[in-house]
Amino acid sequence: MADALVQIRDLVKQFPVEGSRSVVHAISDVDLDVMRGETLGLVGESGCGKTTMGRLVLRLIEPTSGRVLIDDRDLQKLSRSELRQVRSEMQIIFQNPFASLNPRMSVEEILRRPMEIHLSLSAAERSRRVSVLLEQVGLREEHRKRYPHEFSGGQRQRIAIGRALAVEPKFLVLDEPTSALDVSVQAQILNLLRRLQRELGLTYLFISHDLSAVRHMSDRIAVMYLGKIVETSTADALFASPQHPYTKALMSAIPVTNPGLRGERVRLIGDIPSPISLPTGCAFHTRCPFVMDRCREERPELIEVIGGGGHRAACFLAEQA
Amino acid sequence: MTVALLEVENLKTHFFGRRGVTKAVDGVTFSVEKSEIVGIVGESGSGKSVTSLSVLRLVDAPGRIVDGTIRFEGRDLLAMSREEMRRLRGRRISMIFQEPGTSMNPVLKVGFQIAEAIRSHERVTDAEARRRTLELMDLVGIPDAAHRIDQYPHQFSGGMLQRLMIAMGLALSPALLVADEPVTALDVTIQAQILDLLRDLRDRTEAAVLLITHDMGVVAETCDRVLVMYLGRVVEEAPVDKLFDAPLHPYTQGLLGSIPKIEEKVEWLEAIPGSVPSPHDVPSGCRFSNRCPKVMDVCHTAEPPLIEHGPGHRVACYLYTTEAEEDRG
Repeated sequence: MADALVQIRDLVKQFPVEGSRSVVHAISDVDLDVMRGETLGLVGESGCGKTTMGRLVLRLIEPTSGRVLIDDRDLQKLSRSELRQVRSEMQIIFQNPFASLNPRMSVEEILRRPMEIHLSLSAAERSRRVSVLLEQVGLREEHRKRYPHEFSGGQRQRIAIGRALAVEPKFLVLDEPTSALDVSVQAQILNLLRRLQRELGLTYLFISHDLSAVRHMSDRIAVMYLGKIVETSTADALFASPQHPYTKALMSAIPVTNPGLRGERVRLIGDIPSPISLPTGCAFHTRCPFVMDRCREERPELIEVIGGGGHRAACFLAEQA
Repeated sequence: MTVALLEVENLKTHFFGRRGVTKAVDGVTFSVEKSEIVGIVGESGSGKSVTSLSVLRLVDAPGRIVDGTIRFEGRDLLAMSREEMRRLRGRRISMIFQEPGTSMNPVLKVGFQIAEAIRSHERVTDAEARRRTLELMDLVGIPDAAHRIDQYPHQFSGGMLQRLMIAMGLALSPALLVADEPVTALDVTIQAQILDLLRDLRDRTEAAVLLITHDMGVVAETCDRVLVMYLGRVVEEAPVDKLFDAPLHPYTQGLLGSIPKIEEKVEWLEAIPGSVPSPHDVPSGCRFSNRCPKVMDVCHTAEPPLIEHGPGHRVACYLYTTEAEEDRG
């Protein structure tokens, strides 16, 4: 078995609701591993908790309970200085490169700042590393002195990627890294991320609502619904034989790129329930086309399904291994 | 030959700003037939939204329609008075927008807002307006309409709000519904519901739809015919099957190659190099020439005309003209 770089165990995150005793159940009992060198895709619709997951994994926010381990070190148990050390090993790319770059800093300053904090390099070494980073992300030396507003969205995302790479991380959380970009530019950024992964041996947690992009990028995929993993598997097995009705619905909701295939789809009715008052039993039962009485009362566990290979689904209808 | 529902010819909408003139729409010609769904697809700066706003004459200063004609049901929209145009909007042409949440008044009940669309154009009793509002809410698939008619916008989800916007748009049975990125703000499972609804409503009400989107998937799902825009011009126009089976323009090919596909796994996506230029800085000749993988000398000289290449299939590219053959020698 390949070894896990990131281990997520029994992770729970609840947010208080102001002026009330109820809570938002953002993440409920998530167990997940990210293997060294792989891309794990985390897919789900808005409000499913995927962004919260990304933040928890980096301990940018504190979990309600549960643990996250990076290289067998429990993030919750680290001292401030140890945590700072670990932070240089894990970085995040945000969705909106218009909001995530400081408009008053030049590209050079943006790329240099993380090195000043995390790496002990001389000024000359830092400057050389800026050149390396510019080249790695497909920018030119002449861009060094320019400011974010002088760049297009795609180029800004390249700067953000360069900033994340500056401290030589092992692990990147990519939170909808192409969702704010023009279609023709998205492909450039996805290609860049893949090339960098190969060259630098990076491990990715790729968070997206876009199942096509997740399929393209990921070795394994975890599907989230209302704060829980409902299915996880290798990308190929997930697409070959999706087990959970929600996964099937997500797949058939993907707009076709062939008008001839129109209309052969599983449709979901209704909207995602509020994460403040989760449905009883299976959280998906209110929208499930195959709902049974049992689903309204009992909560299905994430169990290994037929076909093996670590393919797991949380549904009573899944064919158990 | 019958007259199309909407005929736009050589439309030019320019913006006169401090940094000079931005030619957001620069010579666009197309038509929409009765009960047809026509898509306009393009990236940021393509002029797709400004085209749709121009059709409704909703372009505000510093923007202005500087040239071209827009004929709707045989009438010249650009020759109409403001008052005539106001009466036409809502009744014959209506529009729905991307953010359903921001298009509604948060302090008024949704039923009142839909009824208002009816009352602003027709003299009806309160009971009649309410009856028609309920019918519309049923039509767009809002469950329990009798109860929800008296609720406020914040009590509805994004998908349900977009249904309400569509109900409002259809209140007076318009002949044309202009939908600007109607599903962009919605989740995929909800997107699929709204796109199904649009097609279903077209079948039932025979309203034509002009659908503006950046998403080729939305086009493939919904449209009968498609225009691909780039930097203010139409570069390709085709029936939807043709566009996806045999795209001609290198830009269309690039857009389709950029999208990860579920059906086939590829190692690398065929990205288009560079990014969309600023509209202040449009390349001379063909506007796509600086990003085109098949660029030739002739492409820098003059803008290629949009010419017919197969039934209903038009393309603006020198690869398909005689000049190209001369250029290749």
